[in-house]
Amino acid sequence: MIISRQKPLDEIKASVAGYHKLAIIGCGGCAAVCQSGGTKQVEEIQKTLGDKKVVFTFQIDEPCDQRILARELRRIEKRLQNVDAVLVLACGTGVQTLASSIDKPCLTGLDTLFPGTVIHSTSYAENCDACGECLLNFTAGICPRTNCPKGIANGPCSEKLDEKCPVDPESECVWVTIDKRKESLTLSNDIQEFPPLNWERRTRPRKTEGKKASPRE
Amino acid sequence: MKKLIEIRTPQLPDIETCMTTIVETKDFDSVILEEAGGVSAIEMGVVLGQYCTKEIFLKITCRDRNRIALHSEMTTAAVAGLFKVVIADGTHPAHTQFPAAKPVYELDALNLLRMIKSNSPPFGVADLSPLNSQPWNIGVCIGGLTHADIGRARKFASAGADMFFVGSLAALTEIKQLTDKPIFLSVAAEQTQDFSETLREAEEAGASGINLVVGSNKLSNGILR
Repeated sequence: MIISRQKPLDEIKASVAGYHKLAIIGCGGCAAVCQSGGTKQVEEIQKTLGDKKVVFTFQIDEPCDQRILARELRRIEKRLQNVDAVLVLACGTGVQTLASSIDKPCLTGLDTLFPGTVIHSTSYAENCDACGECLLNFTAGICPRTNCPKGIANGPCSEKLDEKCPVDPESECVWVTIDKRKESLTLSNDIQEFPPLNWERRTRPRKTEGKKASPRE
Repeated sequence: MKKLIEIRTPQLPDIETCMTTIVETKDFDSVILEEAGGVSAIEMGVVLGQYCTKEIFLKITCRDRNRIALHSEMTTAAVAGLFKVVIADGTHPAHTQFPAAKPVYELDALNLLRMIKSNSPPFGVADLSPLNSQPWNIGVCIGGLTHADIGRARKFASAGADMFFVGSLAALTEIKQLTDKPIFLSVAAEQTQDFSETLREAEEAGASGINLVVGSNKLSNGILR
């Protein structure tokens, strides 16, 4: 799940200030779950942009998927011709996928936060940094690169004094958590050693091509 | 027993006070210089070396440098004759005067130690042999005492750490079982009521020395007292 939140209203208003006729398009996927870009949020934004003419509102299930997007855009093709700009309530990926598919300015109403777990309504947790070199098989299914504020992949950092994280003293050090989980699951507690991430592999923008993402070399 | 003081290099207006205090104090044999937004630790180490005979250590952290910058830093230190280095992951930017700075931590301290010790990429030593550069003398920091901390200490030992800095007497006892390398007890200046008592305890526990950590960029005689 891509976690997102609505931008401050003033920022949204400033971004659409130069346009009169707008379309507002929400995301029926992640942003709807996050309550940042669902039908209700689209309606709310429409109300707050009272001085604008909102030509139409629309919901696309997954605007980040070009196949779905192409199908949905055919349904609104004509109405899009009547707007000056499109305000999109979707994550950065959704906004950019949409923007690359239409010849209208696309503005975002959301800030994209992180890929994360939905704990409950409006409560989310980051746990994957999409590094492309997953350690989960060695760390009891807990990612130290994401859950440690320093991203230390080799044991607790030099500054940890007890079981708590020195950056967030309210939290347990992820390496202590990993240790405990390994013990409770009777997994081997031999501490592995991991090389630093290979950033050459992470040169942006990343993409995979072919029938499926091929295994890392 | 060796007495070290660890300071963050000062901001420009505080350089003179800081340098004078270090040069004049007779309470410490060695000084560890850490950069945390202050002046260059290498530059300060070079200047200090001209005014006193104290042993100079650099503390290099992984917080704000990627491997390219760390390589330059180590090579420059070697050229400057500063081959005693304490490496650490480093205090997170959120707890510094630059809380909005990007945390780097591209390498962790273990990765850095491995790279230095395996000379890959060449961290100065081989290239500098004509200058009679000495081999690196690398210290590492172990904060806690959990199984994970001890596991990391074991990895540091196997990677060739030359000295250990620990955060407690209990950790000192544990690490002593892993290595015969020098172990120093690091204590925060702000939390140390009776330095001579702490010194005695460290000596009794078998520490090779004690490291008084001053957690600010400002160093004055007041702190040392």
